[in-house]
Amino acid sequence: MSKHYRYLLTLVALLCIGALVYALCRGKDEAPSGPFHSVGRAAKIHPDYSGAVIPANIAPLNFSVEEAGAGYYVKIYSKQGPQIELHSRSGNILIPQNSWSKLLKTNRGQEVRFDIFVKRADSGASSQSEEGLWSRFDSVVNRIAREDIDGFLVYRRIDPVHSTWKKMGIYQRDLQGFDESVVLDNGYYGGGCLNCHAFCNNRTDKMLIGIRSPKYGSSALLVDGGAASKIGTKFGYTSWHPSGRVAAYSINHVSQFFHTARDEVRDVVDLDSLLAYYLVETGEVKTTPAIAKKERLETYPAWSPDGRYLYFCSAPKRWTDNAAIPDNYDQIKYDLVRISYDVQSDTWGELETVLSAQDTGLSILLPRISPDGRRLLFCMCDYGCFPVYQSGSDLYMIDLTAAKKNGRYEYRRLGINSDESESWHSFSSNSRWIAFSSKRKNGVFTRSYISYLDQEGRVCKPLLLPQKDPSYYNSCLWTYSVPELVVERVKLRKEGLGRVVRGPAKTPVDFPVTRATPKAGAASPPESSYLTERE
Amino acid sequence: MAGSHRKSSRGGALVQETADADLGRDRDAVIGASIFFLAFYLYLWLYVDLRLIYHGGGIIANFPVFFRGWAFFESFTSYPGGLVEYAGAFLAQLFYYSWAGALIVTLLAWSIGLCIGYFFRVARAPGLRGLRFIPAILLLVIYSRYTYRFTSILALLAALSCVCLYLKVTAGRKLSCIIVFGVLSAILYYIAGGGYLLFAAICAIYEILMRRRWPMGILYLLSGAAVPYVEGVLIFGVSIINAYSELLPFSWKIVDRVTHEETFDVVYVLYLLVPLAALGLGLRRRFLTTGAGPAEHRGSRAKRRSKAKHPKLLTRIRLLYTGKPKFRWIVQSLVLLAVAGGAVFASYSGKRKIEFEVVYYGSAKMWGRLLRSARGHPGNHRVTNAVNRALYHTGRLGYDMFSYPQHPEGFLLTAERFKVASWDRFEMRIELGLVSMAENDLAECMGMFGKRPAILKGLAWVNMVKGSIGSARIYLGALGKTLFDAGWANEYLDRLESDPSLSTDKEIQRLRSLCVAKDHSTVFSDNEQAMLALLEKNSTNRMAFEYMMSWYLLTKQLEKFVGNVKKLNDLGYSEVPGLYDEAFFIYAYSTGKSVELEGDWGSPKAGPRIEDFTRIFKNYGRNKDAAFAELAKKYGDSYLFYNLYEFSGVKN
Repeated sequence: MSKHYRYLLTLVALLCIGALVYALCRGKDEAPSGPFHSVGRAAKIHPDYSGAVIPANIAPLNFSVEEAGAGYYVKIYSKQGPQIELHSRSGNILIPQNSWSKLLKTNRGQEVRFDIFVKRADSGASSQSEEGLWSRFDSVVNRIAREDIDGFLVYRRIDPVHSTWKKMGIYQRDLQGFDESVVLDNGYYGGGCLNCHAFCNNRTDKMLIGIRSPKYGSSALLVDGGAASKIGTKFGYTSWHPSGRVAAYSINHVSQFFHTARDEVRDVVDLDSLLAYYLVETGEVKTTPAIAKKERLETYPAWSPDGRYLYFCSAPKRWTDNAAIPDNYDQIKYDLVRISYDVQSDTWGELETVLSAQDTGLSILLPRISPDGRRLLFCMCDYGCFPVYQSGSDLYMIDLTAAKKNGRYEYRRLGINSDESESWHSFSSNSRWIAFSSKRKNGVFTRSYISYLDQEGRVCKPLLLPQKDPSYYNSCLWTYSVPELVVERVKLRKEGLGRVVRGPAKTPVDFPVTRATPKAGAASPPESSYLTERE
Repeated sequence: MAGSHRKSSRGGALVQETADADLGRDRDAVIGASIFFLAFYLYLWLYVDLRLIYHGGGIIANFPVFFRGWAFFESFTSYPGGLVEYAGAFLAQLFYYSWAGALIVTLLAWSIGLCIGYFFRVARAPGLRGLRFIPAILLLVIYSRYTYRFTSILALLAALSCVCLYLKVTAGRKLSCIIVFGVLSAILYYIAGGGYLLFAAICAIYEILMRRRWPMGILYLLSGAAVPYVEGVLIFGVSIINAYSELLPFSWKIVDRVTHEETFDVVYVLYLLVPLAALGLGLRRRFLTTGAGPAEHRGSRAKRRSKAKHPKLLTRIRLLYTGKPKFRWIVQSLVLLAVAGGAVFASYSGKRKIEFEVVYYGSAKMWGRLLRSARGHPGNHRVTNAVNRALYHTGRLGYDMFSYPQHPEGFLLTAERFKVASWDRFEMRIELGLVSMAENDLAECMGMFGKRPAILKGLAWVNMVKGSIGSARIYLGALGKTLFDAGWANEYLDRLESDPSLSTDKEIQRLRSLCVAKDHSTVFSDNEQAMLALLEKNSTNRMAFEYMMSWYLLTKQLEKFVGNVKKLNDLGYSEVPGLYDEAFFIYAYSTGKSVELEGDWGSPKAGPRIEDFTRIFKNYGRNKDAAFAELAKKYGDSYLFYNLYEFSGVKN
């Protein structure tokens, strides 16, 4: 044996001995034994998951106990199955994924309880006290829903940018664990923007992503089956017809501006907008006068699950100058309207108002209808077209089944709203879960939340998208917007998608409207190197 | 036997002499290199001052950020080149201390030099070993221009190190060479990304031209094309563009973030130096020399040939050079110093350094040093803006602002072209009370320059001032993971625990009292409206007042200027600033109205200057052009001069 190998062997042996000594010295963590000092309240935990209804297929709800102590012990249990016992010196409770998953799946519809014990920091001094070393807090209780949530959440991750950014991407998160992977980021086409990802029926075999690239131009990336292609125009907010044959989208002439004395500095206004639709089979882009009125601003299309109606938002356009922010920008309020459509004959019916801004006094935005067709979820805020920048933006719901019966669209504000902006909501394929963006807790950074929606339309306390590190969000500078629930992973590789964006092949779009203001023969203004962007 | 003994002892003496000479040469080389690198280090530490590059001054957009913790490290492990990028990000933070940054760069230059020296020694081309100083000289050029290329150069070092390792362990059979190359390829590509291409290219050149093993060379070239695809695209799933360009100087990530393109050539030269030299050497050996004998023999033949051709004088010089090691050492050292000095002289930009300095001193609130530095700059909007801020803080804005070049566009940097370059503005805006506008600047900076500690600190600060404590905590949380600002961040996080509204923080409270209350887009775009809005919120905002008055002076709106002088009383001025006196005179002269100040302000101190200025102007028959030289010489720092010529800062 050479000298070098001897040294190496000695080093390995020393390391093993060191590890053994450490393990022995550390001792075995034991479950606390009574008597306990009963605190009489629940422990403060972060993130606060207490009281939420959780899906059986959610990742472990790791949390940190924010109570002073020298040691922490947590027992997690439900009606059936083995309990999970965890010890921690720091207060960070990291739950093993397999045990957690097993526990939840065997106890659907039951409660899951977290018993939290904290070893008193002054345990040395009080070791003689009758109440003992450990404090016991009231259990944190969650209910496990019977229905699973879709397996993946697709969102856009970006810094809280104003108009300049480096990196942004569409990511998918496996909700059962902590695995996050890139669907596509702007590094695959030399920087630029990507947004407005839209899926058909919560599946990923039909997907659209809007792309803007100073280098490769604007386009819509279409995934249809196992293939990706590029459409020679950018789609704005997009909604797939449930048949997968049509995608309605908005064309928005967005202008960004900034506030000088408001918590949220950023704001945007659509100086002009309209709706168009793409016929997948023929590669045609069309519009119809009812959804592209010159005197109206149309945006946020959303198909009903039966495909018979296109819901969208519409506001009167009271200016002619499309280059300047109108003085009365804070008076722009959108109505919620719908128009019937026959996909077989590609014909449109009459426009009807579902809910008018005049009645609500607020701007109605982002309609989404549950896949079972029973509920319409939307945002309302003081003015404008972009709820993420409005701290007053809240989620509202209309019971469409009731509306069908009594002919009235009655809306109600959901109890899950906060003082900050709520927006970008989506339904799971089984209509039992909603994912949405919220700026609660900080006002700047958008995070993804999940809420259970029961059969009666009650929406339960939202659950912050769990992360492996419970303190992750404390220093996380990303914003997570447009969380879309999908039942499967996006299968196409990111480089494959990037290659399509970079490639010259694209479906040409023979459509007179390239920007929101139709001007026959007029060229689109060039993209600036620092493209205006919004979350 | 005796003869043989004599012969052997003569031979022994010869060997001893040669060994001594080699030892002497090595010692000289070590001394020479040590002196060179010591000078290199001192130059970077004391003259270039690498902390200016760390600060970046709103110019360097590609300076990396670094956060402590596993999560940050993990994000670099998911793509080829990430580890070098991580190492580069960490080492770059040491630029925070100029001495430490200079040490890192010196070690980098020295290491690259060692690799190059080793390569040419193994390639039996000692004559080319002098090339080992070229990277150091090129690094001097890069840093003298105040640009940042550290990560690309670290990737270069990784590639050259692997080349040396390859040469060290592959003296034997082809198979072992291929195995070593394969293993190194896989590792190096993961560590250094596109830097691997350099390794593959050098190894291929070496095998083809030095070892004359064509098939292996071709194999290496093919692997250079294949490894990034297989490992990068197929295994790590990175884009094909990144797979072949990650960390290379032409990577889009680097090109898009670099503001000054001239240094590109330098980095390319650095990358191409070894492969081109090896290629040249190999081709020369292959095609220009006959026979395949050892290099030294061929060298001797060449010497004999040249001896016959060169005239006597040159031959003597040559003999002196080759025969006297000390002389040769001195000549080589002088040439090296001359080349290094020439490169530094040609590339050093004093103007650029001043731009970095004024922004750095502005951030550090070192007003005196800022003003001293700015004296050496002919003036641009960035420097003007920093100077005005320094003048305000030293109480000299109303006296000395026209001692420096001034232009309305540079005053608050609100022109359209400063929309993105907002680094220079945010501190000034915070101090004025334009906190939301500062937040906008900082967000743009974060998009442009990344999550730099100074930006995170600024964002945490503005959010605390605005009372957005939730977001402030997040910025502080991120800042707490940096190397040098964690203390500040943790202190504020602790303070927020005990005092969530920061009601006991005097500076926060003071700034809150200044924050503009008017929410209107004109405040963003119109300097006057911004200052009026600030004074409307808090009439004791002295900075807003002085900036507004200066704005009126710059734009020659003397009616408005005079209309606001009564605020001097409210704000507790003890005397009328000299430039204001001059403005009063011009106003009175041009309108025929006198300026009445409430209270006793004494006689104008600028009186004699005004009289003299007027006298000179009259002497030239009120001809502006004719009077220029004398007025500039005596009053190039006055408002009288600015008002007449619309520029300033020309007093000798």
